[in-house]
Amino acid sequence: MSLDLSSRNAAPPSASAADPARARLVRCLAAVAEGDRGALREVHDLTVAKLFGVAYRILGDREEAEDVVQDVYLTVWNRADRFDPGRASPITWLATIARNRAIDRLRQIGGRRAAAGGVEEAADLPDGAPDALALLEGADESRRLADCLGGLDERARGAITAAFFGGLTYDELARRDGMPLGTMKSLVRRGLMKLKGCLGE
Amino acid sequence: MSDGAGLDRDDEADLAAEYALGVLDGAGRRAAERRMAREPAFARAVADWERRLGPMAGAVPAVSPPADLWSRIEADLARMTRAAPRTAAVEQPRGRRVSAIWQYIGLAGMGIGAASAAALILFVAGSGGLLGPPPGVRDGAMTATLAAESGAPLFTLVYDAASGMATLVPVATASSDPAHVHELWLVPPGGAAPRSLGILASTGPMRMRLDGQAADMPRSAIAVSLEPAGGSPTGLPTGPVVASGALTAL
Repeated sequence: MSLDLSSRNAAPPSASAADPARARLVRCLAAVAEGDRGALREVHDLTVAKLFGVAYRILGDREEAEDVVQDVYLTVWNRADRFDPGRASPITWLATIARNRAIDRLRQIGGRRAAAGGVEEAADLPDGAPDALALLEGADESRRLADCLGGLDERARGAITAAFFGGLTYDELARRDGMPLGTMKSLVRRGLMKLKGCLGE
Repeated sequence: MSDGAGLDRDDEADLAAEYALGVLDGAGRRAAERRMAREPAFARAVADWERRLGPMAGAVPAVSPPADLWSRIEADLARMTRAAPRTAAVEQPRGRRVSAIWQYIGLAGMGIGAASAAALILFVAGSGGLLGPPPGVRDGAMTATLAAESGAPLFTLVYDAASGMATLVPVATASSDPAHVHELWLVPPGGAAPRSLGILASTGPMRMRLDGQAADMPRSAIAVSLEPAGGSPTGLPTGPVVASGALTAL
């Protein structure tokens, strides 16, 4: 399982295509907060493949990913009122919940997955990830993030993307790259601070 | 502390970023979540990092989930909202015997106070980051931390009188055999019979409507008992008390 770069060939969705989808999700989440179960179904239909992809990428196991995604929509049902469209895009909010749940699950079952080769698998993550990012949603923030990731040195970028996409811990990253733990930590921390500066905040 | 303020801020930025990136081990994640619950500034820092890094998730390829996933979610929803108050229970004849523990739990509601701050923290602990702070604390909000006899908190309940909705968040997962369910009870003050609020979903937070119960909510206690599958056959608690706590105004 590696990052899908086939989207490179797809035309980036234009702003006019992305914005109504985003607005529709925002409306649906507002309705979910009011207890509208049909709206939850709509949120599910619009986002489940993406959220399942996020959970599956981290867990590397379909059944575990299914459980996590099931849980994510129950969380959305209970907490849609916390979504603030002024603070985050709806898909980022949903994907963040899915990532956090998947990572928590991964930490619970971690030994098993690491033994099954999850760490090696994550090592296949292509360095081209930031290029693929540029095509996403056509959103400004995605492009800016991709540019800033591209500005990091290769090792820092590799570690940060492996942690984000694969849920690897510092320890796993250090072992993967044959680097002392402390060195890996400062590599990632410096990379994150550089990212923050680049994103202009 | 003021001397090290700059240093602390750097550390804080690191930990918030590390949590959002997902690079912490399990213990590190729990520690970060505890800080999110205690320190709104730290929770905001995490949310900021989640927003910065979040767009990366767009690069993950979509994967088709199994076709029956929605029906599983729907089944969970049905369980979660199966919390319509059993009005019949309100009219339980007074002669019906309720064990002493339930009268004791009822008394707990009358000792207003100390638990509310802790309960609020526990409630926030389940969220944090982009999930944001809990909905604004309004007049008429009440909370209860349901603890086991050992004192270990098992559930937190937050009730919003304005909407009539209660949210129950499991703090610890209490494993349960399939032959039994956890049933939630409102225990009025003064030894009146407990009223069933419904059967708990086995995992994850649940939301339920408690219309019609509100009048008796202040000074009541909330308890969870272990009941046969399908819930108490009598309309009154029959099994052991798993957790209980006083309901207090926020």
